[in-house]
Order: sequence, then C-alpha cells, then structure tokens
Amino acid sequence: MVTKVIMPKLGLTMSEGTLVKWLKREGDRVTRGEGLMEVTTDKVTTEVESPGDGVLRKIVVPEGTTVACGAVIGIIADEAEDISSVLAELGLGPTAGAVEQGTPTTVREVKASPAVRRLAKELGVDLSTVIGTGPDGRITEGDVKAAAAATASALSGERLAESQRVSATPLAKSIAEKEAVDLGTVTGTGPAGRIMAQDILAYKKQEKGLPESQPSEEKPTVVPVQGIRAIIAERMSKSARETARVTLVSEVRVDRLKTLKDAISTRLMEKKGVKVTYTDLIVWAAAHALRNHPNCNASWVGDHLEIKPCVNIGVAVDIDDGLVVPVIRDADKKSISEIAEIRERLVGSARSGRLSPSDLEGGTFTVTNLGTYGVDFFTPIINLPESLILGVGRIMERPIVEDGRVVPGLTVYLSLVFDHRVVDGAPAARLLQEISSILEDPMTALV
Amino acid sequence: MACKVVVIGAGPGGYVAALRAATLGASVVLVEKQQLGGVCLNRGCIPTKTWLSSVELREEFLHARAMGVIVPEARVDVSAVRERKQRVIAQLVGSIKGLLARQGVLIKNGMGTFASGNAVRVLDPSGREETIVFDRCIIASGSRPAIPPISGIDKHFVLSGEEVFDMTEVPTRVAIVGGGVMGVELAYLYRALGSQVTVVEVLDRLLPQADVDVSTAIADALKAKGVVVLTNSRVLSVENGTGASCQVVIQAGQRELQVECEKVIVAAGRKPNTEDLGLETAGVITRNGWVKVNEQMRTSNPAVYAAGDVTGGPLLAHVASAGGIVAAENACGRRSSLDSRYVPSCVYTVPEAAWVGLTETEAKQKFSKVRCGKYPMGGSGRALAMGKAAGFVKVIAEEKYGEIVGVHMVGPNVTEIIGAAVTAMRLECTVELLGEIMFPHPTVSEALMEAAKMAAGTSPLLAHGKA
Repeated sequence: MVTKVIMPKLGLTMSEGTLVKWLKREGDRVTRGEGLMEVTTDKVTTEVESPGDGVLRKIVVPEGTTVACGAVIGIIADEAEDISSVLAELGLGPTAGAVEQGTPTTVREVKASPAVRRLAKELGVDLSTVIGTGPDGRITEGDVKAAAAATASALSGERLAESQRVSATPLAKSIAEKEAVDLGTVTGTGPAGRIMAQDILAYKKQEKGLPESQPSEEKPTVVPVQGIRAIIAERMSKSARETARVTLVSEVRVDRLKTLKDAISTRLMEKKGVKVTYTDLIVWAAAHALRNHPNCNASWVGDHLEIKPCVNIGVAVDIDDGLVVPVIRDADKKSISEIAEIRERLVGSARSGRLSPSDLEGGTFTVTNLGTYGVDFFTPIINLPESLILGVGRIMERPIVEDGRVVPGLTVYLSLVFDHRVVDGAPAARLLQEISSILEDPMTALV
Repeated sequence: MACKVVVIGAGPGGYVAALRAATLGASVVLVEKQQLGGVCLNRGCIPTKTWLSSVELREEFLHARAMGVIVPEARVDVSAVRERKQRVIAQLVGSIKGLLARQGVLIKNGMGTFASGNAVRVLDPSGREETIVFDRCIIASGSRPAIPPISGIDKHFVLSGEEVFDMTEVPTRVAIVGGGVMGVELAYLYRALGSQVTVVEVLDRLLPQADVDVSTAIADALKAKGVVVLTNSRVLSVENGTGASCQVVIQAGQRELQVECEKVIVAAGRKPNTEDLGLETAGVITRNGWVKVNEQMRTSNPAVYAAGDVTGGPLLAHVASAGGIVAAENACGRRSSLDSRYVPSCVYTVPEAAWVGLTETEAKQKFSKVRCGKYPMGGSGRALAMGKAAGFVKVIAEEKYGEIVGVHMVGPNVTEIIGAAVTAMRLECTVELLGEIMFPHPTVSEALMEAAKMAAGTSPLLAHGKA
C-alpha cells in the first residue's frame, strides 16, 4: 500500500516547513508512529512520525528544502510495489525509487543538448529524474519544462489536482459545500489524510480568526460585567478620563499619633466598645484640615466650581464584589470616637450588604487605605464629583535622619491626588502639609 | 528490554488489552482471580445469549402453525440448556487461553492489589503472595451487580442477574427488579420458559436510556406475551411468604402491591470492582467510585491505565475491548484515543432492539433542526415473509449538513444490522448517501436505507417528526 509522506501542518498559521533531516534513508523499513524526519518552522524543530508502515521508497524532497504544507515529500510503499504512477504524478522518472539491494545506484546516461542542460540548471531540474521523449530517449526542452511544472505543482501542495483527488468523507464534503470551503485548502486528519467533518469545522474557525477549540482546561472563565463591577468600571474610567490628576506624596512621621491612638484606644473600647484605627485618625485630621482649605472641598461642575459647605469624608471599603465608599457626614464636627463609631457601623453595613443609598451620598473628600496590604504609596482615582482623594500607605518603622543620625521612626506615606481643574499644586500641597502636621503632632489639633 | 505490563482482570477489557500489549512487544502478565473471560463470558453476555437462543427456538415452535408447519409441542430441558451453556463457555475460554498462550502472555490466577505505584501483589487461592514490578499496569477489574438497599433483599430467594444461568428448575413466578437491558432480557427469558413474570422499574418506562419508540415497542412485546410491567414503581421489601416463596412488596405509582414469587432477580445497576485494588497506594483517583481516565485510558498515575466497566459507563463488552486496546497501545508507547461517539447497544429479546447515537429527544435538544425517518418493519418484504413484522427502523439526522446522529431499530436480526449504521456514522456518511446505498432485497437491512431516505426527504413516504 502506498503512503504519501506530506509536509505536515504543525501549527495554525504554518504554511510551509523546512525538511531539515531525514531520520531514515531510501530503502529503510519504517513503521507507523516511528520518527521519520525532522521539520523546522519558525525556529522550532519537531520530529515527525511516519504516517504508515512499509519501506521508504523515495525521498522526494532532500534535506534543507522548504516546501508548503501538504506537499508530498516522500513515498512509503511495500518493497516491490509499483510506485511508478505515483512518481509520474510528481514528475519523477520511473527508475527513481527502485530499491537497490546493496549495489551502487546505476548512473543512467543522460541524453540532452547543452541548451537543454542549461535550461534544466536554470529551472532546478535534476535531468537524471526526467524521462526523455525525444528521439532515442533524448530529453527535450519540453520535458524539462514539464518536469519543472510538475515539481512546482507538487511542491505547491496537491492543490492543482485537488478538485479530482481530494479525499474527504461525505459529511465533510457536505459541510464544505454549504460553508463554501475549498477542500483543497483543508488538511485532513483522517486515515491517509482523509478530510473529516471536524477538519472543515476547525478550518472555518481558523478562517474567522478564532482559535481552534482548546482542551477545556485552557478556556478562560467568563465573568459577565454587571452590577457593582459595571458601576465601578464606568465611574473609574470617567474619572480617569475627565480629571486632570496630579499626585503629591509625603512621608509623615506618626510616632506621636501612635502614642495618642494607644492612649485613647483602651478608653474608647471600654466606653463605647469601639476600636479606633489609623484610618479614623486620618479622617479626623483631613476633616480638620479641609475646614481651613475650603477650595479643596469643592466640585467641578463644568462652567463653575461648587464649594461644599459640609465636610463629608468617604472611606473606601473593600467588599466581596468590589469597592464602596460610605460617607461620614460633617466629619470636621465629630470627635475621634464618633468618627470611629460611625466608621465601624458603615464598614459593617458595607460588608454585610446593608448600606443604604444615603450612606453613599454627599461625599466631598475620600480617604482610601491600602496600608494593610503592604502598599507604600499609590495613585488612587478621584471619586467624582469630589476633587481630591487621599491614599494612605503602610505604617511601619522606617529609617529617618534626626540630628544627623539615622534612627527608626514610625512613618506613613500619604498620597494626595488632586484634580488640577479645581485646585492648583501649591494649595493642594498646603492641604497635605496641614494634614501631615496634624498627624505628626495631633495634640496641637486638639487644643 | 521489553516493557513489563501487568493487566488486572481477564474480561473483555483485560484479555484484549493483554493480547494487544503482547503483539506490540510487551512482556505481559495477566492477573485474574476467577475465570478467563470475566463476567461477559462466564456470567453475562454469553450465558444470556446461549439461554436466549434456546428459548427463542422454542418460541418459534409456538408460531410454527401460523407458518404452515405442524410440530409437536416443544419444551425446554433446563439441564440440557445449562450443560450446553457450559460447553459454549468452555469453548470460548479455551480459545482465549490459546490466543493468550500464543502471544506469550503469562496468566496468574489470583487477586491483584497495588503494592506501590509500580508494583502489584498477587495473592493466589492457596494463600501464596507474589509481588510483580511493572513498567505499566492496566486495570480491567470490571464491575459487579449492585444490590439495592431493599429490606429482605439478601434472603435466599433473591439472585443477581449473574446467578440465574445455572438454574436447575424454572420458578413458577418471578419478580425482576430493574427494567434496563438486563432486566428486560431476563423478563423475556423467564416468560419464554413459562414463568409468570413481573418487572419493576423505578423510572417511567422500560429501557429508560433508549429512544422512547424503542421502549414502547419492547414493553408492548413483553406485555403481549403476558409479562406484568410496572413502571414508576419500586420494590419496598421482600418478605417471607409460605416457605418456598416470598412476598415482594411493591410501590406501584400510588398503590402498594404484593406479588408472591419463588425468585426475585435483581438487575438494577452495577458497581465497580475497586475496593480491594489498593488504588490509593498507587495514586489512582476515582470519580464516584469508577476509575477516572482520560481519552488515552490513562489514570492519575502515569504508569497506570484502565479500561472497561471499572472506568464507568457504558457498561458494554465492546466498549471494554476498544478501551483495552487503546490502553495497551498507549501503555506501550503508541498514541491512540478511544472514540466513544458511536457505541451500539443491543437488546436480545424477541423482537430484538438495537441502537446507536442520540435518541430523538436528545437530538432535538442538541440541534436546532432535526429530521427523522421512521420506517415500519411491516413495510419490509423480508420481515413479512418471515412472519416477524413487528418493529421499525428510525434514522435521525441533523438538517444542516445531513449528519446521521442516531439510528434506532426494533425487529428481527436488528442486532446484526446495527453494525451497518455504526459504520455509516463512523465514516461520516450523510443521510442522503445512506438513502442511496444499495442494500440487498429482500432483507430486513433495507429498512435502514428506507428510513434514511425518509429522513433525507427523498422517499415517496412522508418524513416523520421534523423539529
């Protein structure tokens, strides 16, 4: 049984490959599944298995040649089987492919004129493989041209003869017809390269630019964008698009803040059952500072700015489905313990999905704390219609220089992002300065 | 050095895997704790069909007069059928033994258990233990009848479907628990032997996995023979009756019934033989108890493969054999996959039933446009000439490309004809082309071509059931 060895299509976009090495020689026995040749494409070399059992009767494409996928590169058949018709199809002479048992290849005398020899050289035709149709077996120009054309058609894949010789199942042909797919352009994966239904369907997908169906382990998970995700996406991109964002970062020393926090903590816990956090203290400091910087407590409304009368500070809370920013109203008029209480209630409601719409309205400034996640400083997105947002980073011991010596100090990076349409750099920097000094020396704010 | 392969279980999955591995050059040890041939040969497929052939012959005698043949009354000699069954089994076991010996497969009689991820310990009946290290192992330990948790079910009146073929006398009354293929074949067998038969099925019809038309046809055939068919029913308990018989308490729909019978036969599903294999030791993962394998029949342990019933459904011998070959090929370094798209099923009652692919309901759920062609057996010249015109052939195709997605048959010899349908589907024959294939006339197989023509819309008869 004759098995044609073809240049395999080893990848979706592969159109040609280079036969770098034959692992078997003409005359060798091969078995299906055994390594037969090495093919290179796009710098990747792959060992290709023999498609059938038998003897490798003819190597059609020598090592180092690049051919299109689907081109016949070798012929496997039984030892004494007649493969002359197959060879003739490929434009190769009848003496090629005969198994020589231990005797050197007989050199046939090539009868051709110098002009014909020159043409053969130009067209890259091996005269020893051409059958001469001239007188006394002489090779003519026509023979050389025919051989070149036949090789070219063989090398361009089996496309030219495809319409008559395509091997495809009835179902595959039905699909190809209805989907207007040219069978000649499809590689078959069935026995002996037969085109099966799935080959047409895979080809169609590839044509559309879709990847072939992958094993289910590799499919990405589809998460529909809806609900809170959709809202966040819309708001964040609007803010990023519209605001003229600038970030100011300051390292603030908070040793004294810690002392205050420790001092009031236990008392607050006993009295109100509430824990005070750094966020509460920062909200308190920001609220105080904003009272003195009303231009930072404003909104851009297109043709005018609205300076808000109340300081309502939103605290960003991370919940299962996303992010919410409940608001502590009139934060500048509240004590640290009140801020802590309200913050705790709001965070609890947020995490259990019990926030009411009014909890989320009316904010004029937002504090967002990623310090517990190990973030030092960052550039949060402004929570429109507000104009500033304060990002709080990790509070930890860092080296600072005091009186010419390096000492450990508890510090935090504050990242103040402002909308330059509403506020300029210096005023924003002054706000940050005030927040920083309150945090560095909280006692002064208390008096 | 040859690859050392150990196969656990010598049923249609195991012995076929062993032979394939041996032909691929492996050194094979086949471990079997009971008989070569497994359930299929010894307690399943073969004994069932041997018994059924005998009772069918007797059934033919009942219709002889209608065919113009005068015969004396025929009766079944149970001992003779049993002995014949033994001879058939022995012959098949012998030929398997010969095949295995010719391929140099070493057979070890004993129970195989994993000693590690690459060794099997074999415990033989005399108590001797031997540990065999392997390069690859193929688990083909099969399955056994599942006995439902019904009170009284372990009393001596109760048999599993595997234990009936050595019967010494025909019970007067029989209750069969389960209306699947096994239950239906046993119902037919016992009725043909002269018992009063009651079949109890939990779902709403007999042969619940089959196409509705097949279920109806077979149920009608059984009822016409006098079998009592109870669907949407379950056996509640088996109680002691008058010593030689028992009372089977059945919840039949809304009513509760009691049926007195001499034997209760359980054909209500099967479970995998995995408990004593030591799968955890070998790192072999199971899913719902069945050994989990990929398309190459490989388990979670890359050196261990599995095939047949132990890997789960369909619980058919031909699936086991096909899987055994794939397992052996992959174990020996060749790459192949199990194509389980076109698995045929057969029911050996009279009339027979056979099918492959999707039922009409499944096809309509999967495809937007489906065409069915149902050709009645009464239209078949051969079937009429034989006096066996009950049944039909239904071909189901999806409309867009003409792909044949299901073929369902009830009638004489359909278990032999289904192979043609499987071949057509496997080779991707379109329904139009199947309708053009020249089947010989007069045969029952022509009905396949006629049904295809109907589905393709090229038949003078009207197509049935366009979605």
